Formats: sequence, structure tokens, C-alpha cells
Amino acid sequence: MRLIIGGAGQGKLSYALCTYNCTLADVTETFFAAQTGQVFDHFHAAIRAALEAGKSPQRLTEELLEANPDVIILCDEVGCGVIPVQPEERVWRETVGRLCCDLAEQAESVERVFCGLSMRLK
Amino acid sequence: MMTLVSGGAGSGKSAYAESLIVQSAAAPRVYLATMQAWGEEGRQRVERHRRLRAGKGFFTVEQPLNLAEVKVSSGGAVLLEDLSNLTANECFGGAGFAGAEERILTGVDSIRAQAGELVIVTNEIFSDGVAYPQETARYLDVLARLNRQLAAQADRVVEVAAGIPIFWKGEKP
Repeated sequence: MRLIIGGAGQGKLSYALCTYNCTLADVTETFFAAQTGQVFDHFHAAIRAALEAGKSPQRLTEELLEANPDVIILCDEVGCGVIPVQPEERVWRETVGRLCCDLAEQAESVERVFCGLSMRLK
Repeated sequence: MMTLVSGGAGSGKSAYAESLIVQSAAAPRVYLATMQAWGEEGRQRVERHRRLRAGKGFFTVEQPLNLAEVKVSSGGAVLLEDLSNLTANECFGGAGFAGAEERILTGVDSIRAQAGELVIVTNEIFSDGVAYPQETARYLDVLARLNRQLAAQADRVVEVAAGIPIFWKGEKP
């Protein structure tokens, strides 16, 4: 598994497609589809959807990695703002951050994309 | 030489961008100010930046819109501060969202053709996870695209954190 993080709009998907020889057809956006896809884009949004559906994003992530150990996960960094007033927003933001830490520990590589440029963190 | 300098609020990106201009041999030094100072906080911000530049020999040119109109001396050093502000002025004032991106890119091209050294300050405002209202989201999208395109064109791309420059592209001068 590879992890690519960065702020919104920084060009993570273009970077992943160019670097790992994939096309838009290889890109998925849900935990279910990502089990058989090469790239899992908008991981942070899938976490929100899971929380809203009352499912455990941690459990879904474990299942994903079991089914697809080579998946490339793209996730927005969402933790650099003011603490949200809404409790659900706080839980989401925290869950995204913690899951990225877990993924980064297990990942073969961790890259950060900024203004379309990449930096390898691991 | 073109350098894109980014960072969060209070990261020291302005001071670092200025140091790049001061270190370069290019002259005269032009401070291209995009901010329209509204209210007391705006005036204080402008004043703080003026103090930072005092004695460094900058001419200030105020250009909140239509960057392509700017004329600078051939081979001069230009500090454009800042892109997020200019983008907001173009999107929410002036001619609006339509063509804002192109107007700014054309303006940057025009300044690059005149100046010997160009340093553009932009902002890192994309990592807060907030779902903004449509107009703001659209603005963020335009600014992110400009950041990516200018980063692709630039010789150096620097993120400043706690006053420390992190080189994403190019070498430390």
C-alpha cells in the first residue's frame, strides 16, 4: 500500500496517475470499490461516508488492506483549521488524521503533494 | 528566475520572500502590493509589512487588479505579495470569476518578461478540511490551480514553516 497526502486541490490524483502508470479507470472512491481498484481517491470523503452510515472506518480500512494490499490511497490533509464546532466534524477530522498515521506506519511509501510537486516522507 | 513562496499565516513567508529579493543582484526592487487595505486591521497589516521593508530600497506599486498593466524596469526585482489576495480581488471584484485565472497568468507572464527576478508569495489554505460555501470553494479551486501552474513554471518552490524554508523545487540560493 502507498499513501499520498496533501491539501485539497494540490494535484494528488494527477501525481498518482503519472507516477504509478494508472488511468482514471483505475480510480475508485469507496471502500468497497477500492478492494479491487488500483487507486483509492478521496479517502477522507469515504471516511465521512462511513461515519455517517454508522460504520467503522478503521474496520473498513483493515478489510480493504486485506483484500487489496497494493492499493494506492489518496487522502486530503484536513487537520490544519480551527477545531470544528460540530462534534461530528471533530470526530471526522480526528479519524482522518489517525487513520493516516496508521496507514503511514504500514505503507511502503508515503508522499506529500504540494502545488503539484511531491516530497517523499517515507 | 521565478520563485513561488507559500506557507500558512504568520509562517515567515513574507520575510523569506523579501530576503530572496534582497539577496539577488537584480535592481531596482519593486514591491508589488495587491492588498486593498480595508479598516484598521488592514492598515496595521500594511504598516507592519512597510516596516519590514524599510531601508531595503523597495519601490511600492499598488496593483490590486489587472496585473498585466504593471510596467517595471527591465531586469528589476519584483516581489508580488500576494497571489491569494490578487486572486480574491480578481474573483470577487473586477471582472469576476470568468477569466480570472487567465488574467493572473497573463499578468505573471508579462512581469516575468520584464523583470530579472520575480518572487511570488502565495498562501497555504487548503488543509483545514472545511466544506466552504460555493463561492469560497470556487475561489479556493482557482487559487489551487494557479499555485500548481505557477509552481510548474517556477525555478524554485519554497514552503516556509516557522520561518524555515523547505525546498519543493530548486535549490537554496
